[in-house]
Formats: sequence, C-alpha cells, structure tokens
Amino acid sequence: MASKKDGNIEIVDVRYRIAVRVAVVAAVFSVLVGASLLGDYAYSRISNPLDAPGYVAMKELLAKQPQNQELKGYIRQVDLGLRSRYFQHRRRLQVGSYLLLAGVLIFVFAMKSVSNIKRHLPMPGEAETPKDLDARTGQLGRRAVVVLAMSLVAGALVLDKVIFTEGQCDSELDTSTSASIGVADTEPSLLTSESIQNNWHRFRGPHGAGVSAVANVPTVWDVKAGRGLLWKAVVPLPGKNSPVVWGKMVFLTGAIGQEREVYAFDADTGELVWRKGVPGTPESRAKVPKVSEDTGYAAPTAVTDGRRVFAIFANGDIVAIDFRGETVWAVSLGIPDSIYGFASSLAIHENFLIVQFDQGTKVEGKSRLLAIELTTGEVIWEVKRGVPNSWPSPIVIENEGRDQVVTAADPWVISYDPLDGNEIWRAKCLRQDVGPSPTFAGGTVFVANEFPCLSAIDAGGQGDVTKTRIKWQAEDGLPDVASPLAAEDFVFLLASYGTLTCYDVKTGELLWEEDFDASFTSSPSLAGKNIYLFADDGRGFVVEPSRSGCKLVSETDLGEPCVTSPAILDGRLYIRGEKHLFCIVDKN
Amino acid sequence: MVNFLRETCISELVLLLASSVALAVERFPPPDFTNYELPATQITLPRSFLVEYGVVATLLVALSLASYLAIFRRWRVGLFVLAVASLFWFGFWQHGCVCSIGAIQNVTLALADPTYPIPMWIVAVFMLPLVFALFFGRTFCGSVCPLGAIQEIVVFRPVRVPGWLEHALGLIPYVYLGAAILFAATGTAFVICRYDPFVAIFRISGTFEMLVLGAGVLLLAAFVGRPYCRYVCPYGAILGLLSKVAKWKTEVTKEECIQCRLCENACPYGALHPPTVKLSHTERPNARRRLAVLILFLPILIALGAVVGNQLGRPMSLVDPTVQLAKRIQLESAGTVEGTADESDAFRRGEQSAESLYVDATKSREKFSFLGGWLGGWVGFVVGAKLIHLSIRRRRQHWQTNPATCVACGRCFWYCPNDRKSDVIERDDKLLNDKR
Repeated sequence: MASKKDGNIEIVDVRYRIAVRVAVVAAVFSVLVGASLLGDYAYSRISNPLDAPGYVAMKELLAKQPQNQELKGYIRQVDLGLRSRYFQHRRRLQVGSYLLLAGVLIFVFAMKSVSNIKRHLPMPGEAETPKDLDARTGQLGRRAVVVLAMSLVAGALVLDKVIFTEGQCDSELDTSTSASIGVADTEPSLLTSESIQNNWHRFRGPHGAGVSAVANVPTVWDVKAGRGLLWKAVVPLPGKNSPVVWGKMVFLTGAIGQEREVYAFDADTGELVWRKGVPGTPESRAKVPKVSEDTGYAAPTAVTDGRRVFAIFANGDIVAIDFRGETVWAVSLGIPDSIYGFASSLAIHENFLIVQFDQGTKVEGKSRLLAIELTTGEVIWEVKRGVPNSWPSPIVIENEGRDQVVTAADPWVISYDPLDGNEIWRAKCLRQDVGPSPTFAGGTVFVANEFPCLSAIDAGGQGDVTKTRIKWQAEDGLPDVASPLAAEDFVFLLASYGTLTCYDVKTGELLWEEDFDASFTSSPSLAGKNIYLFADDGRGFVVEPSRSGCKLVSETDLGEPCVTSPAILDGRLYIRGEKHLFCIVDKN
Repeated sequence: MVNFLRETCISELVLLLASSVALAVERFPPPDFTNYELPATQITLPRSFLVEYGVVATLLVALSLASYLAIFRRWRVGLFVLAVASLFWFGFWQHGCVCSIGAIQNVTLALADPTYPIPMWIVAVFMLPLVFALFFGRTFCGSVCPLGAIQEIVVFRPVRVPGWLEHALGLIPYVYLGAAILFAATGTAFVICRYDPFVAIFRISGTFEMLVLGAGVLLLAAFVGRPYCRYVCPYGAILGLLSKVAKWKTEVTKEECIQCRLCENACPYGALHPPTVKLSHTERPNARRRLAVLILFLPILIALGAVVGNQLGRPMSLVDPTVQLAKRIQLESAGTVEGTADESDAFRRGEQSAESLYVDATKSREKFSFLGGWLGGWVGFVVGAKLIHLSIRRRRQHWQTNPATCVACGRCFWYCPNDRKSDVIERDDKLLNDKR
C-alpha cells in the first residue's frame, strides 16, 4: 500500500517536472521567436527598400537618361531583388507569428498542467461571525454607480468639448453650406421704402415691378452719335443680367465657364471701380454647369441692400461683396440641375436674401426657396418646392399689411411668408418652362407664360386659390421670357415675337396690340407715362400707352444686341448691351 | 520556479501580441516605370451555404455540449477542453467572425434599415445562445464564446474585485450595448467589431491599436478574471438578464450546501456569493425609504439621461462617415484646411452634389440626436435600475452563484465536497457492482 502511494507521488513528480521543462522550453522558444519578429518588424519600419542609395541613384540617373535601356534593365533587376526581399520578410513574419503562437500556447498549457498537478487545497480558515456584507456592498455600490454615471456624463462632455472641437473638427457642422471667407460686415441693410424708391436695387427695380418712381427719364438718345450718352463702359465678362444701382454705384456680374466676377461701376463716370472674382468652392468648381447660349453663366441679376451687393451664378455660388469690393461671405448651393441654366435673380426682404433655387424635375423634388441672412450667409429657412426647374425671379410684395414672397413655376404660383417660409397661398395657372417673373399691382399678382395664359390673382387668399382668387385670365400676346408690366390701369405683355399687348388691369379686357418689327427678351419698364422696350438687336422703343392704343415716342439704337432690362433713375437710364454698360441721360 | 514561469507567461502574452503588429497591413508600391497594371479590387465572396450552416450546426452542438457538461455532467475538464476547441474553431479558424456578440449589430441594422439584408444563419448565430440562456444560463460564455475562452485560458492570478466595484463596472456593458445599437441603427459603424480586442489575435493580423488593445485586455485577464466578459461585453449583459430566469442553472453544488466555505475563493469572476444575514429592525425603515426614493427617482434619471443624450447626439454624429465627409468638404470650401483629402477628392469625382451631401449629413445628425436621446434615457434607466437593485435585500441561506454573472465555467465544482462525495459514492458503487 505504501509503495503504491509512493509510486503515485513519484508519477506526479515526474509529470510536474515534465510540465515545468516543457514550459521553460516553450518560454525560451517563444521569447526568441518573438524577439526575432520584433527586430525584423522594427527594421522594416525604419528601412524602406526603395530608399536604398544605389537604387535611388540609378533612378536619378534614369531621369537624366530616359532612353538608357541598359540602365532600365538593371533597375528592373534591382527592383525585383528588393521586391523579393520584401516578400521574404512578409513570409518570415507570417511563419514567425504562427511559431510564436504555437510556442505561447504550449507554454500556457504547460503552465496549466503545472498549476493543476500541485494545486493547493482550499483552506477557509476559522469561521467568523456572519457580517452583513450585502449592506456594505449596497452602500458602496450605490456610491460607485453614481460616481460612474457622473463620470460617464463628464467623459461625454469632455469628449464633446475637447476631442470633437480639437483642431478644425468642431462638433458644429454648418449645414447651411455657408462659408465666411471675407471681412466681417455686420452693418444692417439700408433698405427702406424711401431708399428702395430712390435706387434700383434689384431686377426690375423697386419690388421687381419694372416701374420707376421718377418721370424725368430720357426718351431719345443716339449712341452712335453720342447723343444722350453720358458714358459707356466695357463689361469684362459677358452676362445676361441687368444693372442694379445704389447711389453712385452700378453693379453687374459676368461669367464664362469657371470665371465669375462682380463689377462695380461709377455711376457718374462709368469707371470700373472694382471687379471681384468669385472663385467658388471645390464642389462648385468640380464641373462647369450646362447652360444654353441664351442663358449663359451669369443670367441672374444681382441685388444690393445698400451696403453689400449679392450675386448668384449658374453654378449655384452666391457671394456677398461690400461696396469696397471685399467679399463678406460666399456660399455654394451646389450646381443646379437646370436645362437652360440657372437664371432666377435674387430678392431681399428685410435682412433676408431670397433665393428661388428651382431645379430638376417635379418628381425629383430638388427645388427649394431659401432665406439667407444678409450679413452672415447663414440659411435662416428653406422650404422644398414641388416644382421643376424654372427661371422667374421671386418678388416681395406687401398686401393688406402682410409681406409675401411670390414665386412662379410650373404649375404653381406660390406665395410664402418671408419670415419663416410658410406657404400662404398657391394657384395652379402655369405650364411648361416658365420664364417671366410675376409682378404685382393694386393687390393683384400677374403671372404669364407662353403656356397657358396671363392670370390675375388676388393676393389676399389662403391655401389653394386656383378656383377662388383668380380674377381673370387672358391668352393673347403671351410672353416666354419678358415679364408682365402692371401699371395703374393696364397690364402689358411683351411677346418675344414683338407684340406689345395691353389689358385692362381690372377686367382683363384686351384693349389693344401693337407689333414691333423686332424680337424681345428684355422686360418692359415704365417711367412716367412711357414704356421702355429694348429689342434683342439693341433698338429701343419708347411708347406712350393709352386706353385706345400706344404712341411711339422714339426709336433709338444702342448699337449692340441687348437682352437685359434697364435700371431707371432720376434723369438717367442704365442699360447693359452685349459688351457694354450704357448710361443714358436726357439730351438736355 | 512556478512563480517565475507565471511571470514569464505574462511577458509571453505581451510579446505575442506585440509581435503580431509585425503583420499589420503593409504595402509595397507597384513598379513605377513598367506596364504593371494594378489588380482590380477583390471582393470577398460570400461563404457557401454549407459553411454558413456548418457554423450554426457547430454552434448548436457546442452549446448543447456546454450545457450538458455544466448543468448535468458538472465536469470542469470537459468544459475547459470545449473552451479550447471553441477558441480554435470559432476564434482562430473562423477568424472570430461572425460571432454572436457582433451579430447584435447585424440584427439591429436589419431592423433599422429594411434594405440591409441579413442572412438567416446570422440571425441563428445571434439567437441560439439567447435561447440556450433561457434554459441553461450563460453556458455560451463559459466554453463556447472564443472571446471568453481566450480569457479563461490566461487566468493565472485572479484578484477578487470588491462587490461594490463589480456592480459599478457591471453597468458598462449595458451602456456599451446601447451605444452599439445606436451606431448600428444609424448605419455608422459596428463598434463592437471595431473594438473587439481579440479579433486581431484570432486573425494573427491587425492594426497596431487593435493589437495593443488585445494585449492590454489579455494582460489584465491574467489578474482580473474575464474583464471583457464582465465589464464590457454587451451580449453578456443580455445573456445575464435571460439567465436569471433560466430553467436550469449552474450551481456550486447540486446537493444541500454544508456551509464549509471551501468554495469561497473558487470563483475568479465574482459570481459566488456568501449567505446573507438578516437586516436589523432599525435599518429596515431606512432601507424601505431609500428604495421608495430611488424608485421615484427612476423616471427623473431617464428624462435627465434623455436630455443629455439628445445634446450629445450632435457631437456623436461626427463618427458618422457622411457627417465627417460633409465636415471635411465644408472646411475645404471655407479654406479652413489646406489641400484636400482622399475622401473629399473621391466625393468630388462622384455625381453627388455638396448640397445633397449636407442634406444627408443633416439627416444623420438629426437621427443621432433622436437616438442619442434614447441612448441617454437607456443609460438613465440602467443607472436607476442598478441603484434600485443595490437597495433590495436578498436572502441567501448558503453559498450561491449569481446566474446573471456566472459564466458556467465549472471552476467551482472541484471545490465542493458534496461533488467529491458524490464522485466517491459513485466510484464505490461501481466497484461494488464489479465485485458482485
């Protein structure tokens, strides 16, 4: 019995010794393999085979002797050698890792054996008086849980404040796409009822109506002879946009392909005071937008608030430039998907720049209306519009004490609250590619397009007013580009084929039609009693309308094509031709 | 000598992991003046049907075996061998993927995004351990999960973690679970996989950070038993909850406890608890009041957590690749950063406009804010529930395993004299039968 017990002890001792020796061997083996791997890895990190001096020297020589075929062959051999060494290194690492893994596993299992063979028996010791451990654990545990919870919150806040704001990676993503890149100009807008009437701050002047507050406007001029021409200035880059005027500054934009500029001319001399490039953003520069020849890259007219001038281009870039020519901010709305090219001009309401950014198809739902803060470029609100690409410019009207932004597109004319973008009313009365902008007079919004008609809509409605607020509709002399002109008693349409049509503003009765032997893109304007028409070939017609017809006051010529609308101010008329900006004054 | 070897063992583990860094991804540039054509990017083909369901079948077999060995056979050696086999099969051979822990994210994403296709076999990998937990407790953790197995093997000198700390750290898996669900539901990242500490070891390759993480956790596991299972694993948190209602549980003894205290140091995972003493009469009113206050406080904690989570949703969204790209594009556009990045260059070569990207990023942020609120509410609930849990008195007549934290490793079997006695009786019966 004793000998059997001794034998068992001996066997256990032998197993123990074997396990210890296996563990030692495995440990030594693993250490050697591991050290070798680490060394090999460290060497590979500090030594790049392609930086071998001989190899680099040969490549430099090859750069000087590119036709040296013998040298090329030699470099290939060296390159192959370096490559082979690299892959050998990779194979060594792989084999070594598996060997190391095997060594460590053998070591771990040998150690398990060592532990199990001579495992210590549990010795609980003397029994103690039972303690209320749960109470103690509960008390400390609650504190620890509270500390951990607070640590989690604190850690999260630290992550937010420290890590997420580290360097450039702050936690605020300004999804308005705004990027302030220029001087800070936070001065408020100078737009007031009076200043709006005294200047021509947007497309078609005050409220986008094409009606000048002044009557002393030149009616006769002859550019070729220099009669009535105060000055004419070359506009560096082409554009289909119209001049806007504030005080002594006349603003235009021009663009071709990837070049976009804003110009400021001296209103008295025609001197180009400054020209400011609009470089855009990497994404707006990524490709040149597709535009038709008739639209070009700078069709939208700029707008000014008396401190800054705002311009938008065919690629969706909007820029704010102060009167010194310094960029205040620039944003990119992304290249609009417009079949002819983007052409909607900008509007301003109080501190908001209004952008009608219609694009794509109705199904795609990409069109939207945005209000951008004038001083920062921050998007204050934007609303989706279920309309396809369109080309009219929005107008801001005041009806019964309420401000409205009125937009036109296929098929809806929609009015929005300029403060928050909420829709006020809509009317379904347009079709196909809509170009003419809406206009407003006497509580009525007038919209027209080549299809289907001219509509007079009562602006006091709410919701869908198609069946309730359209006062009258007419189908003669419909325009496809030129916007309607609404006066006190009449509404005028100028068709592109040269017909000026007059309707009674209240009843929609067709009063008369007058044909001009010309084609028109420019919208008609009213100053005093006279309507100013500029034909595509540069001829200007000044007519005096009445209920029975219109009288031709003068026919003049700019001497170059003209598709823009004039800016009409006290005693002056600014009009942009194909290449020049003209300032016409009364011959007297 | 043994002590020396034990210390050497720790060094070995570190060395193994550090050396694995050597296999981190390296690239040798292609020849620069030959007609060498870069090979097209290869996409890993899906596993064959047989392999996929082979994994499910082996998981089913392993779970069945683990449950049998832990609950009925009570055989520690068998469980250890099974753990080693699982480590090799599910860990090294299957490269630790797909695992039930990571499958939480696949299932979450499939629920959140109907366009995300999830194969049924992955659903099975996710569900099987949960179903087994309902019947047998955490037998998956004990000897089937490769992450648990690798930690089980390296336990050398486990220290006893104080109960209060155990409870506090035990919250982390629930928080991690909520965060993993948030990131998976938003399609941002599978964080459980990204921060799986052992996957680099299973693949003998990985980034430096992954390997350092793995080394750190294994080093810790030598002294603190199964740190990942106890204080991190989100799947373990779910299994722990289900195990509480398991029909059969792994117990330290299947007989009546004789209060010998031989097992008091048997569990390195803090799952074995001593008998309790009665609460004194003077303490009872205080304990009741505390419990009532904490129960009333629970909704406040949830609301507070929801508010904080909602606020943190926006910064958290910077983890989202779309938001990151939008941010990068914006910074480049504003000229705040110089040059361009690969991702911004790739974006500009594509069809998407920046405007559309910003819209997508905004949507992601809104989603993060919304789900961040839920995550915060969840964390508030977990904290509140834990405080309530710590304020409820339980009665234990003898040494008992906590089914929520017991991983059914079978270490405690060896310590119980009842089990030894059963073994001896069984052996004597057998000898008696043989003599007859």
